[in-house]
Amino acid sequence: MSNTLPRILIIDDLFGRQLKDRLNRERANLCGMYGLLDITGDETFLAEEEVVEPIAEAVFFRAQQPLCSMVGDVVENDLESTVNFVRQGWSGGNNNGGAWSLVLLDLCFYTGQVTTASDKNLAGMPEGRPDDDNPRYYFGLRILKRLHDEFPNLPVIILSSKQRDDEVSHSFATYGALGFISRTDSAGPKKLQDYLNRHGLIPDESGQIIGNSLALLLALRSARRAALNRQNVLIRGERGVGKELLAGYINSAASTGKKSRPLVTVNSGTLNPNLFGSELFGHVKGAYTGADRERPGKISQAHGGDLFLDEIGNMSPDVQNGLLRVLETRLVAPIGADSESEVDVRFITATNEDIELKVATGGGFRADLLDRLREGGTIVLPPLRERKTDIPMLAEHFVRVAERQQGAMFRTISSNVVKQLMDYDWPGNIRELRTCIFDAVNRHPDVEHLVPGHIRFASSKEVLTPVLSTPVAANLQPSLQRHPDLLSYLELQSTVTFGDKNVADWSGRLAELQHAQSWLLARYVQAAVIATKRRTHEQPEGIIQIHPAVKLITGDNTITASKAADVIKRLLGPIEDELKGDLRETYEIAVRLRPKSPINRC
Amino acid sequence: MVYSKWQIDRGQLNHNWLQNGVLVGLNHALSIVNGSVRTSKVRKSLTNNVLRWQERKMELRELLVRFENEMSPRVLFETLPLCRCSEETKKWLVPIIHELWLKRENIMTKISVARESYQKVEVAFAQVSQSLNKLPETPAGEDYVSFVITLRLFTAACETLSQSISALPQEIRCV
Repeated sequence: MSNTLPRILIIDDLFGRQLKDRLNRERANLCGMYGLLDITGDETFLAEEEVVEPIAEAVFFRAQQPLCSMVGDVVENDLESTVNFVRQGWSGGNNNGGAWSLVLLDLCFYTGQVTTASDKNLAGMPEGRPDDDNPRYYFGLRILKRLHDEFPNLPVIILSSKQRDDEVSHSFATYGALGFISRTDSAGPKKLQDYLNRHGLIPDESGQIIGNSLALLLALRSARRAALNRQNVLIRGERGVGKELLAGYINSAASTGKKSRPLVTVNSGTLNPNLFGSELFGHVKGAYTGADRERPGKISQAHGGDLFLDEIGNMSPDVQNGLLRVLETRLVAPIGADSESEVDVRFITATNEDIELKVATGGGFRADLLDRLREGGTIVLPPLRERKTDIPMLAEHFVRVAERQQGAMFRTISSNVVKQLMDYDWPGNIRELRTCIFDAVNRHPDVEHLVPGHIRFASSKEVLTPVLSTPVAANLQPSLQRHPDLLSYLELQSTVTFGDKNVADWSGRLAELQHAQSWLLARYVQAAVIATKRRTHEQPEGIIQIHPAVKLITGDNTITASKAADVIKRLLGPIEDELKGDLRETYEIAVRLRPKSPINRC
Repeated sequence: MVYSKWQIDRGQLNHNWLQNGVLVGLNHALSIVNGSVRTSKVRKSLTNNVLRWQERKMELRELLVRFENEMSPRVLFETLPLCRCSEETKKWLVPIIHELWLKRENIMTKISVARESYQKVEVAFAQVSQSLNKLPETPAGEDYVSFVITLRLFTAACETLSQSISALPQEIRCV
């Protein structure tokens, strides 16, 4: 999966103005200069030039009314509509954050009447008022303050041709702008790329880490910042959140535009504590029993690159001491060796434990080692429950991966499944979601449309969807309560359309519909079986009688017992493998009665 | 506060036209030359961006000439409350105020820097126009060598001019 370009919002009166009968040449030139792809969609005339490799998409906004002004119009700044526009892209997208990777904000906005002269010089531009150009009254600074108050996580960079004097610098720093690009600076494009990298809320372009929730984008930004230098980084996060992937992201971000650096991974949790030292530092031949040849350690293998150590809370005191020495001296000595060799390694470590608490309570982790391991900062990778807006994207991704493993078949995910997945807390995080989706695909290899009945959660916090609301439901076994197949069936019916008579699409879903139909009929059988059970003192839960049950379903009192068994076999046969509880027993009784009659799988 | 039309004109000419129009256009032209922007009409695009300088350069030169008269604090004596001063007082006070302003704000140096910058832009423009004329209709590779040098010089000269105009006082200040 490849993510799209980062999206930049450019708030500027000149570049953001709309023109009815001509190209906004200034905007086209700005896009060419900075390598931006204009996706505002308000242009009726398209530029003849094309940016070859755009670094970002750009949406332009004027921040004034009217958006499209002509001679005679009076142009006024409009703070509220500007904030609303920002808000739409910030929270109204398909995620709860980063629709805008970055905002570029102008300082000076010209207002007043559009005169014949001002329009001739720059179409649609007003003649301006004296205060517009006065740093004390820059409208851009008013916008900045509002954005800072309302969207504290939104990265804003000033893009202006105004001089960056002390007063302006002080103001924009106070209101949280993260940088300044002079529009006339020919090094501006390079600065923009740097700012995007350092401050932008950008999804992982490689598609390894999936999602664009604000919580994730902030973590990715921290990772890119950490990658700018070679200091050690600690990643914290619960099990299954993708700490190793983030380590890979840091490693590749550090390698961007340069020769790729090695990334060596060591899972401290899976190694025998006795061998951990040897794994990390290496050993010489004969260093200990079984060391029949020389072996370089992981630290040496990571020379010039990064070493990822997962679950560092499990490290023994000896290994901690050895590691601390490597961090302090940048020298490593294989076990049993007389000499040391210099290493250039950045340590990326990870833990799901409260390692600070472990240090504070004397729980077996050295404080000085921890300080060394997080000298470049600590990145907290959020649990899935804090980035639920990423679940649809992740689920889709895992379905595609599972499909690739299973063979060529394309599945869709129903909106009810998405809701079901988003309602769940995912204590096992992304790993649990992956398992859940793989389980659904593997258990239903022929299903083209995943519906809630296909999803099984690992934990007991499962959301149960009752099928029946009658008193009978209270008597149902737990295993029977969890099948929302009737709902699935109804949902399928509602999604099937014949309007365009696209038979190919329809036939592709036939198997799925038949499956839902079979379960619907099975529910009738189940209800009839429960209603006709013979209850005795010895067996108060009742004995299944298939003959009266079939009579009840069909309304045919003349049906024979063997015919009734055939009906049961026909109704339950297609889902024979999925039957449980009463339905399983009912089917087995029918098979015992009529072992040779065909099941007739429709 | 007293405002002058000069302030508005500077915004229009320096900010909107020179910086956002000419300079962004020249940087765009550099993007075409270095291949990061593709167009089927290379020469036309380059010409449009370079010739933009000619559109309002005379107004810009005029702006520099007008500065001393229109932004001096002596204009404060033309409006309330200082216009109430007696003519006799104005006769000796106004020239002093003007002279003080010129000295304290280092105005003559700033103006002269801006005018020199303007002249340099004119020279650079003549050079880049000459190189532009020598470009074939669909230039490639080596055709660009001398054009790129002159285009860069012209861009840098425009940048310097713009900065020198921005360095002139923002408002009419008392001395």
